Amino acid sequence: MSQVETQPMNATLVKGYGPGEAPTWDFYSKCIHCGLCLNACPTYRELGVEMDSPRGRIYQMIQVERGRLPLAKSFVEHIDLCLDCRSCETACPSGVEYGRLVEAARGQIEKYYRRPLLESALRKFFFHFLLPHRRRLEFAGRVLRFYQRSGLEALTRALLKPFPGRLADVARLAPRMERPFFTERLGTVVPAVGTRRHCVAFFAGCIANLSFARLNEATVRVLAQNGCEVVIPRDQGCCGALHVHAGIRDLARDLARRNLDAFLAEDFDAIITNAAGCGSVLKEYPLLFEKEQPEELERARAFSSRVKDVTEFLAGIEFNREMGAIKARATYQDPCHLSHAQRIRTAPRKLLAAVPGLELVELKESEICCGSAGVYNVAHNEMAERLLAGKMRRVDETGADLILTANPGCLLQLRAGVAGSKSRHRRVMHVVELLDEAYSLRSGHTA
Amino acid sequence: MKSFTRELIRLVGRDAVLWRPEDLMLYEYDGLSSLRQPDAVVLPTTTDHVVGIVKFAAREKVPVVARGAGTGLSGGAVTPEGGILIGFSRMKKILEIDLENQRARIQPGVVNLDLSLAVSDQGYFYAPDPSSQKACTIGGNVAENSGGPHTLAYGVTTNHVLGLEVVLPGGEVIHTGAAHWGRPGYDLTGLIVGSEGTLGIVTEITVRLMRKPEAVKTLLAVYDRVLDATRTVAAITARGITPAALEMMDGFTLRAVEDATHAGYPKDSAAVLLIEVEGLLENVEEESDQIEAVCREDHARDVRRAKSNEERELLWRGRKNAFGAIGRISPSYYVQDGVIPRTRLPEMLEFIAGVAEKYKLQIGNIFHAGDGNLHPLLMFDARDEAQHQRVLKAAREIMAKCAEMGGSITGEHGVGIEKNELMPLIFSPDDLDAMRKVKSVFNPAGEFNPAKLLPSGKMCGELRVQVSAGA
Amino acid sequence: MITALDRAQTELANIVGAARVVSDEGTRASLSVDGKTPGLAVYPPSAQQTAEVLRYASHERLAVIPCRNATKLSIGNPPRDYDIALCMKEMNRVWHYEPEDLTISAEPGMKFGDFQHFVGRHGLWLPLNPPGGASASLGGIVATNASGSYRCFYGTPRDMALGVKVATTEGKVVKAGGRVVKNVAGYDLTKLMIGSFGTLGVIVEMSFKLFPRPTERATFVLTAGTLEKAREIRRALQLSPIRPLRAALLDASYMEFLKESEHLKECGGGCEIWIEVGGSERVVGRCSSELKQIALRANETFREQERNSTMAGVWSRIDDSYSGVRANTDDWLLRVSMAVSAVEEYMIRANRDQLRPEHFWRCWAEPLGGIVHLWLHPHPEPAGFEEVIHNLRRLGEELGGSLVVEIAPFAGKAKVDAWGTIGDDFEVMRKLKDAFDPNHILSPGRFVGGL
Repeated sequence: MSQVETQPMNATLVKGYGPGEAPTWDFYSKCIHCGLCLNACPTYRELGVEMDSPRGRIYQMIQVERGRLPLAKSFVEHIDLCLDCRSCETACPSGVEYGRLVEAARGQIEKYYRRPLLESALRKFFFHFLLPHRRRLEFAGRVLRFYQRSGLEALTRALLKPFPGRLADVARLAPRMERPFFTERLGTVVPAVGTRRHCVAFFAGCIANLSFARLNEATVRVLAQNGCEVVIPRDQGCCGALHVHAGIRDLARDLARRNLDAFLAEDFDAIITNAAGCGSVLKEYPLLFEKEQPEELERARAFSSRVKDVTEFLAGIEFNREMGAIKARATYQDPCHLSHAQRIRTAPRKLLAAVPGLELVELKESEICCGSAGVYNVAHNEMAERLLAGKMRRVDETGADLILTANPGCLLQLRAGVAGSKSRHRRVMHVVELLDEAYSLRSGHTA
Repeated sequence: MKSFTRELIRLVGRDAVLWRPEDLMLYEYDGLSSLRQPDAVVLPTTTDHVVGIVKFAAREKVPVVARGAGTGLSGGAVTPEGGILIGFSRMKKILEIDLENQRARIQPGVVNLDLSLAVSDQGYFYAPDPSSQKACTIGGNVAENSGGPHTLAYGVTTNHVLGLEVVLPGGEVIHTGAAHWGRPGYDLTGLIVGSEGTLGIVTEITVRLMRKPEAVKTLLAVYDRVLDATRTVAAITARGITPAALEMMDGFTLRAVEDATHAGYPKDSAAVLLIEVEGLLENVEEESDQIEAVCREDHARDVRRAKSNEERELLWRGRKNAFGAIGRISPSYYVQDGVIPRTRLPEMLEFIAGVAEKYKLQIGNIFHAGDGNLHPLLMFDARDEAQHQRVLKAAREIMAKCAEMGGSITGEHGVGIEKNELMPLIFSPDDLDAMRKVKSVFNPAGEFNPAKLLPSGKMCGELRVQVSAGA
Repeated sequence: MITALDRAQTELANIVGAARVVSDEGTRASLSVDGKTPGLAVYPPSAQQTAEVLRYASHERLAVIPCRNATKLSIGNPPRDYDIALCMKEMNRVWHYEPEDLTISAEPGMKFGDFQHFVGRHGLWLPLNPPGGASASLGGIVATNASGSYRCFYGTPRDMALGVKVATTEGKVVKAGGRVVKNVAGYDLTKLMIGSFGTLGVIVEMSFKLFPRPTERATFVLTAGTLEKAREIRRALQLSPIRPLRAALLDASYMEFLKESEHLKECGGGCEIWIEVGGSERVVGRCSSELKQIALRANETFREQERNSTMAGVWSRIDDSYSGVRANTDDWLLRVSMAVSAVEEYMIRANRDQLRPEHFWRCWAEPLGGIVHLWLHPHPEPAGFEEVIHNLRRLGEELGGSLVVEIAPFAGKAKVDAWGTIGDDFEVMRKLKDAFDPNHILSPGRFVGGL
């Protein structure tokens, strides 16, 4: 690695990486450039260029380190275009931890590459100003909800329509705000239905509290139906996943520490999340503290070892099979951060198989990203739309009228896909929402 | 931007030409090694594009190299002499599927496994299954005449290609073979398959599709001695059983595979055979019993049968990811691809063990044992130059032994730039002249994939390949 | 010419020995091809000597046709010239037989029957049933890529040959491929040589992979009534889990013929589909029940053909119509290759639009191999009969296939090309011919496009 001794922040590097976390030999040397990852990579499948393949991106990272390639526009574009879906990790026979590499590369970009002003300002607003702060988020949520319900949104969309570019497409992706916000439930405890067999903490997320309040409610109910006492710690906050993906690692560490404090105060059987993207980062908190602030490593490990995706948790216990029938032809899209980052594929299918009346048709290429990828569909709308179009074609092949997945981001993206398709009657649901419905049909409690 | 680039852009569009050095850098390697960059990369979507590019290259007298996914292990898709690299990553349409006639017409960029997946629901598959099948393209398979574990029963790529559309170095387009058996004339299809892009550039392929067998059974035979495992191989064929696949891994390799995939390979064993039989239910049951008996006669410690499809897939995932699994423990290794008569496997294994000892190297063994196709993996640390040299010497010694046994220096990976100087081990100057004659008919100026397949004679048989990290 | 041949006789005798260069009239006449008689017959005993004969012939521009006994050289156009019959019968040795490895190398003069007998001792075989049967030579089989009804299961020599050694017109013995079952080193010249009808070089050794002979084999017969019904059954067969070793669709004309020649009593009036399956007793039993199901669903009858002389006779007629046809010098034998889906369509349309009772035709097909065979016996041949052949060829091409004239009366050969339309790849074939046989001495004019 090239030694750059004194690099001022935000300066453009001439050669190699700057101080701090960077893609290193220990991780990329496992890559034998066999290319088995290529067809697993959504951007390679779309563009067919080596620069936008996992093997190519790793090669670029190596060339930056060796000083053959500058940490500049070309490199940044290709690293930015990566969805960080980690499909390549599933494909990789050598066990290259690509997610780590690309996140480290993004950390370097964040520190040493000067982005255009507007982009830089937007990133600052979103990642630094908004996400970490519950109050600000809530305020933004109320504004957005007013905007969506007052008819202003329809007006704006109509106004945006004549404009070239993708403004209208992006506007469509704004999540619907759902009241009451789940933030109200923070700090409460939901008792188990029947015998209490587990005591779990629920990780509620940040934006999800506003836009997926109902999903969060459903998750808590389903857990309760499975003998869980559900604690929703008050002081939890954003998991930092979007920051990690964006390379904003210092802030991610601050967010992580807040959650360590919030969840390690009590000894829970598990820390449950319904968001695959959050879950994968929560499970990888130790990686944030390996090189920086190693004093937190121990706590991070204790925390991460308890984190479970809700489907993983339920499939791992004697889950409640007393469900009402849901007659539907359904298909399941694997969220990337569940299937690739967390390697969870059978758990959600096992749960779905237990729902009476449900006919599950396998979705071809369900392991390929739908284009959501956190805020990717906003930042790289064109690529995201291409991926979504491909996904919807595959959905059409299944003839399913119910699309299931297990991550809020994917829900948003797939709903946008359904709204833009001919088959608008299709429902898009989280696996847990379906379970909630099935339980309520049986026990008669209202969802 | 050079006028060269401008002309290419005029032919195929701005979006389909790569010319900036930071992009070209990404095409200096394939599955083997890093070398010189191309002068331009072009990504055509039609045969007309390819014709245009080829004619332009002929006018400019620059080399043309075709590339599928760049997963090849003999350097077939790199540009040792620069020139134009034609990437087929965007020419990946399945043009026609004709199930009644069990064939499909495809563009060369179609990924091997994607074709099988496209017809899987209807009960068909495309038989050649190289370990890289989830990424490699059928165009690349045609160039290399790729094999795979199941070629034991089904044959290699050439047995499954019915016809080709080919662009010749002058830009002429020809159609070889036919969509059916028995078109009269020289078998140009058979000649072009495996010609590593040196005779023509394939732009369309008609392949045969196979019907899935009714039943498949996978057996894992576990041995305490490697020799016993190799003896079983010949014993099975001698009984008149042709399994669909018959693979061998030695203890070293299977431990790496097990650590990587947790497929259930017993880590304390000296070798395993992975055997698959298929066909009618009755056939599969009988043959499984017969095979188990043979294995036990040859002192197999245990013979397990995969109980579920998942177990079977897991075992195969372990096998197909074996090279990569080795990558976990040794960042650099050199894979060989020798072939010997399968009756001589025991002798060969002892020989390889001797070579390992002589050169103080760790060598893992993974064989398509049923075909006598060996993939010894010679491990080294790329930063240790002396060890690197020992690896090259050891590899050459193993190849020479294959040749001496009446075998071949490559069973499925191709010659490329890796083994062309080894060709004299198995071919006489006259044999090679006959090949040059064929080449001169198709590619007289030598601009199609130069410096590949045939020995240049420059290096006096020395291995000149730079084996890079992991190649 | 006489003096040139006299000189040749001396020179060739120097290469192979005087006893192996024969010029007596009887021998020469027995080696004639399409009415042309060679000036000399040469019997080389080794690969190297074969090559030297070729070098001499090429240098002197003497036309050579390689053969064993020249008994099956009816396929192909009449030779432009024919000076030397290169008879390979002395080269009939086996090299490198490794039964445990299922590989063998042998010389071209070996008779197929002897070969099968040789490997049969170990329960092995080369699953081919070429025209000429047991008396066909290995060299001929490989040079013509000859197979038979087993091709739908086992493929053709192309799929079984591991390598060849070829004597070239430069006087060299060139090796292609090898003796191992998997090999991608260099160009696959083996494929180029197989099926090149001896126009590029003379095969002097070939290596095959062998196959275990199925322990049990049984033949089942499904009646089909009409060809439409035959199509339905063929489709059902394709979708069933069984994979027959061979299948033959015999239309009404052929059944009529069998009734007489094989005293076949069971058959009714319509088509029949004969199917051979192989494997263990249980496997054969399972196949039987699957076939019975297919017959039942098609409302057709099913019978297991007894393992008797009738069964053997029918199969050998199906595979070796060649030998039967050759007995009648006025007969035509046509092979039309096409997609499997077009087989019945071709038969229906040929029957309806092209064939007349006075053609005395018989038609049968390999429904799983995509081949229709037509045997015509127009006696006496009406004027302009070649038009019928042209129409049959056009019909085949219309359905995406091609027609090869395997046997034709001498006069007919002059009017109908044996191979049919050439494609856009012919120019490459011509250049290959020029590269390997620059003086065009090997079987000149006999192959596709006059090669």
